[in-house]
Amino acid sequence: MKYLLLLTALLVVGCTTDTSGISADSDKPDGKQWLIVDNISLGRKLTVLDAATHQGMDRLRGVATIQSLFKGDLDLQYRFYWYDSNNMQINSATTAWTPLSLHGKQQIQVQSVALVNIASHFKIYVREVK
Amino acid sequence: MKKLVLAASVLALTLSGCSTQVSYGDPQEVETVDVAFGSTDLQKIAGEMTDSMISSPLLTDITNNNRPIVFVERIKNKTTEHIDTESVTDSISTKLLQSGKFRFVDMTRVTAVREQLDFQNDGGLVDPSKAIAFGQQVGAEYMLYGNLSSIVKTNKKTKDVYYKMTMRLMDLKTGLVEWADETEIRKGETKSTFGW
Repeated sequence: MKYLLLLTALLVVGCTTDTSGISADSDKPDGKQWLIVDNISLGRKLTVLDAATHQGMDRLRGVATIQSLFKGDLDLQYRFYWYDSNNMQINSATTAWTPLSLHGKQQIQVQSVALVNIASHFKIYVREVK
Repeated sequence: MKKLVLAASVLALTLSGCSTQVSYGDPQEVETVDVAFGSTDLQKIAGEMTDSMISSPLLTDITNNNRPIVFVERIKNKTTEHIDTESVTDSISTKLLQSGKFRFVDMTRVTAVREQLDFQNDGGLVDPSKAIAFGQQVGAEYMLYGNLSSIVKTNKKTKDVYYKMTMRLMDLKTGLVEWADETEIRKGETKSTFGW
């Protein structure tokens, strides 16, 4: 019976994939809650140093710095979600998940340009490719 | 008896994993089924090229007080794969149009437009005062075109594919290339000796 329970537990654990990750918000009026780590295991391996917008010619440019805290390679994917001033997501400006390979302890800057000029801030999500 | 129950349980658990299930997935998800050109590559190329075009200082002069009219020529597929390059240009032109900075003429619908104008002007069914006359369309000022090439290397265990997409915007009046950019993608596939 003991073995049966152990086997069941192993099978169940083996089938569950943690698809959560880390998110960062460029809108941080009080300086709090701009970085959210939903996946503790991934949170030990990488961090987002900053997420900020810069005014380009007439479109906002979102910039985030992703840093690996891990010695080995990381296969990641990130996605920029753009929002207007009412915090409504702008679907046409939101990008697809983009693959990103980070080598040990590497720090990289990722960017996205808001497709429309009503964009005011963005959120970036980073998670592992399973 | 205990062994029989254990064996039956294991069998039941194993068989339950074999049932077929249909589910919807995230169309924006990173796809890693194989190294062939896939949806993620298309989305990455379209996203990077659009970002580059709408934010390039090279195009400031022509997009500041004007929405240039662009004609999309096809992207030449120089890879060894069959790739629907029209789908790539469709994604890029849709995003650029949504940005409100560029306008497009669609050369793939010229025959259909001509048929419709023929019908309006010569069909005898449409009020002649409301029929759209020939010769009023606006011509393109710029041409967007590009190349997609690849380098494939393989050995017994590894396959490495490198894709390079180059795009250019030419001023049709002067023949000058006003903007160009390229994006690269590297994908690898490794066969493991053990495991699935």
